[in-house]
Amino acid sequence: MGTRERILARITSALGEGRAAPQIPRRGAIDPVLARVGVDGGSDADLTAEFVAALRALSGDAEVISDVSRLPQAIVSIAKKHECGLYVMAESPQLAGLGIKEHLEKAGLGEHRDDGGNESRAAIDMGITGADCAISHSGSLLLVHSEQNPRWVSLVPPVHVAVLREKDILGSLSEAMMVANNALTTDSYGSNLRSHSTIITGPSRTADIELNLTLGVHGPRHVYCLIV
Amino acid sequence: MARDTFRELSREAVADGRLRQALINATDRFRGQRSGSITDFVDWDAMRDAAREIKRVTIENLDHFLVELEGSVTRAGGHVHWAADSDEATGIIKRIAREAGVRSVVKSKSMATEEIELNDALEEDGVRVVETDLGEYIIQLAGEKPSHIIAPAIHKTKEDVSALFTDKFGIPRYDDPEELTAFARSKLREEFINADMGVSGVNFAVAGTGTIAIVENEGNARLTTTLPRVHVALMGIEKVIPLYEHLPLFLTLLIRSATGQKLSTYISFITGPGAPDASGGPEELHLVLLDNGRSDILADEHTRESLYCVRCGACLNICPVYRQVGGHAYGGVYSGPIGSIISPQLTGVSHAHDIPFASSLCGACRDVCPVRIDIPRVLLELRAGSVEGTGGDRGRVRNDGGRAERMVVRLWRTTMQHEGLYGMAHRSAYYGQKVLNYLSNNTGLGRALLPAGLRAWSQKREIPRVAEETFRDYWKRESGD
Repeated sequence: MGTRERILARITSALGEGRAAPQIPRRGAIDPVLARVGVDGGSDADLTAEFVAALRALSGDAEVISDVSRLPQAIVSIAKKHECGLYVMAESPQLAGLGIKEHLEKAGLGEHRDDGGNESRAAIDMGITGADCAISHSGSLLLVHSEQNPRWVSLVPPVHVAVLREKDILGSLSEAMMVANNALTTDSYGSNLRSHSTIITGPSRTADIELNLTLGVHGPRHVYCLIV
Repeated sequence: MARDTFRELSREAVADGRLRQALINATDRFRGQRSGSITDFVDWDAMRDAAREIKRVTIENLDHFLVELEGSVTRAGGHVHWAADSDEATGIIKRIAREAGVRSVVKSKSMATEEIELNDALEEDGVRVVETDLGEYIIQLAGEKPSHIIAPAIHKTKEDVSALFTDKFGIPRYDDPEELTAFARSKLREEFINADMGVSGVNFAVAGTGTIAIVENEGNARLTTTLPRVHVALMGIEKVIPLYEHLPLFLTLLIRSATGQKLSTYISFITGPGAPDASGGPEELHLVLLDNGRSDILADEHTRESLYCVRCGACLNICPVYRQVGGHAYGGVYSGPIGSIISPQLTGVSHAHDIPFASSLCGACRDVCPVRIDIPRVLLELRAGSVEGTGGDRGRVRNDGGRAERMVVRLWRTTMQHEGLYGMAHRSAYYGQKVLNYLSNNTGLGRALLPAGLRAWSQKREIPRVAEETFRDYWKRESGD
């Protein structure tokens, strides 16, 4: 009997045979239990303001760009502020057709040419991605990863810029996780690698040395969310 | 292992004023953050009840859910391995490393990997292992063990860390935690880039989808599970949860209980390996399921709920014992109230025999546990098992207080069961107290007659007054006539 069989046999004998099928609480029963005080589903404008405030409270930044044609310039400003020379951009729908790369090139930034190696990625100054949705009260972004939106783009460079559509700002973790769950089971991104997601809540941080809060430990030090 | 290890270790810890202050600062901070955070919810206790129920159903059908998890991970392209104990687990991981030609490993924080002493095992094979969580990195450099599960290097001051870095790397002394962190970041970045394999823990593993959820703040777990071409995730078998839709509840309870944050900086949801050409992450994903005594805990329905633990650390932060002595006094990987019930059961009561007794049973841990584990009740079960010799190692060691304690208990039992003896004991206590009171009120002698231990104890406390007659005598008097 292999280890697997032995472990399972030990567990089964510990629990007893002939058990009924497990009765598992479902989302319908769990969501009401997660109700937050003073939250009854406000208007969308409340969610945006809440999101911006929450991300800023974590030392990230968020800005509503009402005229989408101004988005590329907003990204260039961030790049200049942090003296970025090299950038990488994911192929997210939120970034398509806006001339972002042309603007960045005109501003003197170079685009990273990926060779699949980690060494060259470590030299990139700024990673630009879309965000699939956001959670208002925590200032969080959900990124669904794919070959077009690999995990390392929002992780390795010290500056992360995420472009988010305002309608995708949601009111709860539960709703955001439904978006991630759907991505596991549908093919909306035309790729077979929608198997990973990350929820990002502000810049990387630690308090391991004497409880002093320090930002930008391993992940990005600067997180910007541009809302269109 | 020596008897009274906890007593000896805690004595050392209590004498270390700086350690105590650091622990008090850390536990106060986490406790305050947690209590401020849970008020965001209409009914935090209902959340705990829901989570406990899901855990109960899961643990009571653990075989079913582990098989489902295995199927889901395999379908997503990952490999699942089963390890009955530490040796099997380290053997599996060493084999994975050998077969993949791994020379260097980066690790994110995982209590399970410490439980099996993975670093030592890999280093035996000539594989370099680097801890990447800043706190774990610091204590790895210092050759120490963690003192708290969320903040493992909390016992070190910034001066300690600065001296350590200077000693190991020859850099100038940095005063500022920011500079120390920046240095660690650049050092560890090289490690991430060059590592062949990343080893992580698992906060939750979803049976329905095969998804591994990892919670962190630094980004080192993301790097560990993204950059190297092989990812090994080690999990205790109790970490499985049934459905993806259970994640919001568990993540919320875990994170708010641990640090009071609304969400940790990063939560990774990993389902299978990444892209074949590594542009999306590791080529290989291995999930190692670790038993190592958990199925024994499962077998005892009185202590089974010990397996519900989500490793938040809230019980450590509220425990009046832990905050004075820290993690090292518990002599194992798991410390604090949860450590008091897990360690004896995972290693057998005889190895950690005094730990279930290192508690005042105040119940604060039960009040904060996000999955409502009744830790005091389990402690009593373990104490009974320890004294009766029916503990984890099935009766080979009987751990009561020795012949003296057994005699006292026998004497007490006999006295309580015999009316005459009880009456004599009562009269001795009644008159004895009168004499003591007279002596202490009218001479200097009273307390001096007490044994040394009671003398100090009675300095600030009153001994309750012994009643004039026993209940039986009162009853006879009142109803007899």
